[in-house]
Amino acid sequence: MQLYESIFIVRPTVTEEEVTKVVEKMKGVVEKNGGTLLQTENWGKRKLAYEVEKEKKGTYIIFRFKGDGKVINDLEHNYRMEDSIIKFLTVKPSKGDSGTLVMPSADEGRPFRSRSGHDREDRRWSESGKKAD
Amino acid sequence: MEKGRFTQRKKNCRFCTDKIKYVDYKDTSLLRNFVTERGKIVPRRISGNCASHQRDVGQAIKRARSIALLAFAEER
Ligand SMILES: [Zn+2]
Repeated sequence: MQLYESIFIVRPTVTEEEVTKVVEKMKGVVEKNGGTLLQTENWGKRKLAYEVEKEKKGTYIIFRFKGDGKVINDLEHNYRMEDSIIKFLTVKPSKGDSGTLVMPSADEGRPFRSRSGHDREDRRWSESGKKAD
Repeated sequence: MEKGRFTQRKKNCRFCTDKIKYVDYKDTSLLRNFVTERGKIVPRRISGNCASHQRDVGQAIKRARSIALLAFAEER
């Protein structure tokens, strides 16, 4: 079992209800493949650094889970099949990672700042799942 | 002969100084300090980062770009 962080962007035209559906579906994919979800976070609609599939904004969803390569394969397959998902990234967080999810600041070119950024109004929700092992 | 002109102030790696072990690709306010206005990664000789942290910063910037948190470097 390996710790993974998976992040995907949902098209901005998708309703909040639909976003929730997509999130639930992807959670199901993780669990179906024996993965254990540790954290789910919704950053809400954010401006993208560049246009993706003609969209300038997107809803960012972040998963942290324990699992194996099989989870990643199936999850990424489902991301590709899902029309509302315009981009995704899966990484293995390295050892020094504290596990805190840092929400990037929306404003451009801010000088060095501490890792806070947890005060954005358009943050929708954040939850912690059960601890693995 | 004036020496001061060529002796560079010793730059210390900010991450070593702050004892930061993990450079988070999601921490764009931090990463923006290490990209130029055009979006290029600032080289080590300017950033003052040690080799290992420069590598971490580079990887984090590339990850941030791939998920549209940071822009790709502009062409001239
Ligand atoms: Zn260093």
